[in-house]
Amino acid sequence: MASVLFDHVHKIYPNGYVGVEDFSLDIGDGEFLILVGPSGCGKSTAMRMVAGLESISRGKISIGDRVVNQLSPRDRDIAMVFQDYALYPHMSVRENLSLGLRLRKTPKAEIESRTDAAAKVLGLEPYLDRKPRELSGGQRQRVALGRAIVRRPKVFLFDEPLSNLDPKLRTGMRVEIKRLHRQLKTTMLYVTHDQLEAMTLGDRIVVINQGKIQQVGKPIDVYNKPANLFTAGFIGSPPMNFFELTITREGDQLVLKNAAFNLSLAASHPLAAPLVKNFAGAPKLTAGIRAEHLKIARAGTSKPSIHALVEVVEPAAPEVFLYLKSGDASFVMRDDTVLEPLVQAGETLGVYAEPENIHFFDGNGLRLV
Amino acid sequence: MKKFLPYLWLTPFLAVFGVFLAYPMVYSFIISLKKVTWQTNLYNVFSDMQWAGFENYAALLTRADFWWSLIATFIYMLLTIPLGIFLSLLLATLLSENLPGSRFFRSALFLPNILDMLVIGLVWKLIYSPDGLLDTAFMKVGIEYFHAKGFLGDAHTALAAVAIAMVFKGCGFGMVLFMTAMKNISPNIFEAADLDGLTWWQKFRYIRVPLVKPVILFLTVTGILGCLNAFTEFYIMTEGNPVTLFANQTVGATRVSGYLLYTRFTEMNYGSAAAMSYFLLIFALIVSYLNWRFLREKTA
Repeated sequence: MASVLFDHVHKIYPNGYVGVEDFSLDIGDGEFLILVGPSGCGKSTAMRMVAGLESISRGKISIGDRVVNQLSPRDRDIAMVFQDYALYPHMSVRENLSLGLRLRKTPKAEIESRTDAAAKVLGLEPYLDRKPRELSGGQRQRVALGRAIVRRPKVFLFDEPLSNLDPKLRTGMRVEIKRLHRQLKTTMLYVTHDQLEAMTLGDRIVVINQGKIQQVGKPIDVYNKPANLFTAGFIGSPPMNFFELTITREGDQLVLKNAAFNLSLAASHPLAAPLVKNFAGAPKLTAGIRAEHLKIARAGTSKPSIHALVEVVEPAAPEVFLYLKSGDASFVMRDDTVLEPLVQAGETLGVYAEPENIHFFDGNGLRLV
Repeated sequence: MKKFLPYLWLTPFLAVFGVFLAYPMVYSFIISLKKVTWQTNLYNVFSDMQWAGFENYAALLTRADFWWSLIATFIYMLLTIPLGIFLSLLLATLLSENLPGSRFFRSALFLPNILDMLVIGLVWKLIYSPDGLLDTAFMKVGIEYFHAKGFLGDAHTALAAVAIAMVFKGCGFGMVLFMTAMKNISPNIFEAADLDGLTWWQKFRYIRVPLVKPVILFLTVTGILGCLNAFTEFYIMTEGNPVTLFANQTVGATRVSGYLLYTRFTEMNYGSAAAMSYFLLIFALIVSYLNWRFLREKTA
C-alpha cells in the first residue's frame, strides 16, 4: 500500500505533441481515484507513466516515498488491468494468475494459496483450468483482476477495464471492483471516459481535458460545483444545458437574457453582486442548467424564463426526457415527477430554473460565484 | 441438375489436377513396377519397360546410396529447419521492436525469396568457392583449411554450406510469417508481462514463442516437405558431390533424396526413380498426416 504523487509531470512526445501538461496530484494511501476525460485527453498516458509503460518527460512520480521515474515496470510493485484484458491466451486461468509469481520464484505453496484466494474472491474457481477463449468477457475481466490481486501490489491501475463489457455486466463489475477496494484497501487509480463510472466508483475524481487537470474533487462536489465549462459539460448525463447571455441592468433588476432565455434577478439577490462585479466591462456570460433543474412552469408557479417547443419526448421510465428548442438553442430537461409524459412533441412549454440551480461561467469558461 | 452444376464449375480445376497430378501419380506408380532392360527399345522406353513387380522397391532398400540419401536429407532437415525457424523468429522479434532502419531490413531480408533459386545458388557457389568471399575472409584471419577445395568441395562442409545458404534464403519468408503472427498479439499482453515482472527473455520464451507456435509448426512441415524435394540448390551448387564413404561404398556427400531421384532418372533407371519417389511420397504423407492431426487437436 502506498500513496502516489505526481509532481509537475509532463509528457511531451518526440513530435512535440503534449500528452500531459503540468500534472500535480497527491493520491492518498488506500484512495480510489478516478481519472476521467474524453478520449485522447491524456488520462491513460498519465496512468501509463505511473506503470512505467511511458517515460516521463518532465517532473517526478513517486510511489510511496520512492521516486519511480527511472524504475522499470516490474520494480514498481504495481498491477494493471487493461481494457482488452491482455490475458495470456495460451495459458489456463490458473497459469495466467500465477505466471508473475512463478517467474519471481515465489514458493509453490504460497502461489497456490494466493491463486486460490483470488479465484475465490472473484468466483473463478470453476474456471481455473480453462483457457481465456473459453470464458465470457466478464469472466475474462475477472481473471485480469485476479492476476492483479495475486501480486499484492502497492497500487492497482485500471485502464478502462469495463469498456469492453456490455452495459449489464458493466454495472455488476463496477460493484465488484468497489467491493474489492473495500476488502483490499489498496490505492487504486482508475481511468475511464464514462462519467457514470467516475461518479459511482471514486473517492475523488480528476477531470482531465487536453492533457490538463480541470478539476479534482469528490464526485458530488464536481457535479454540484463544476469549476469550468468543460467539467460542467462533461460530468453529468445528459450533459448540462448552456445558454450564452448578456447582462443588463434595468432599474434595480439585473436582466440576463438571450433570444430564448430571460431571467431577472433583484439587485439584492446574493447572486447578483458577483455577476455585476465580473461583468462591468464585458457583459457576456454562460449560464449552465442541468436537465433535472429545469421545471415546467405550470399555472400559478413563478414566471417561466424560457418558452420552448417540445421536439422529442423520451419516456425513459422512471423519468421523462424532453428535448426542447427555443430560438437557436436546443436543450434537454428531465421531468421525474411523472411516469407518463404529460406533454406531447410539438407543444410549447414555459420552463424555468431556480436561480440558485443555475451555474454561471465567465468568458474564459471559469465558474463564477 | 443441382448435383451436376457444382462439378461443372470444378471442371477447370479437375482437368488441371487430372492431367498434371492424378495421371502422373498413377503412371509413375505403374513405372515403379517396371524396369528398363537391355531389350528395351530406347526410342520408346516407357512403353517398352519390362514388368518387375516390387523388385525396384526391394533393390532400393539394399542400396547404400539410397540409405545415404535419406540420411543426408535428414541431416539437411536438421540443419535448415531449426536454424531457419530460430533466425526467422529472431529477425521478426528484432524488426517488430521498431528500431531505426527496420523497414529497410524487412525488405532486404525478404528479397532473396523473389529471386530464382538458381541465382541464389550461383551467388552462394561463388561465395563458397576457393578464393571466394568467404575463403578470402578466412585466409585473412589465418584459416587456410578451406582454400584447397572451397566449402562445397569438402565432404564435411558441403551439406552444411548448402544448408546455411538456404537458411539465409528462406529466413525472410519465415520472418514475414512471424511478423504477421506477432501483429495479432495485443501489445497490452507484453505490457501486462512487463508488469508481471517478465524479463525480455522470459517474454520471448513464455509469451512470444507459444503465441507463434502455429507458424513454427507450419514452417516445420513445409520445411520437411521442402527438404524431401530439395533439388535445385544441390543441382546448381554441388551436383551431389563431393564423394564420401558410406557403408564402404562411395556416395555423393550432398546427394540428398531429391537429387538421387534425379540421378536415377538421368541414368535411365526410371523404374527405380519412380519407386524412390513413392518412398518419398510415403514420408511426405506421414508428415502431412501428423501435421493435420496436430492442427486439428489445436483448433478443437
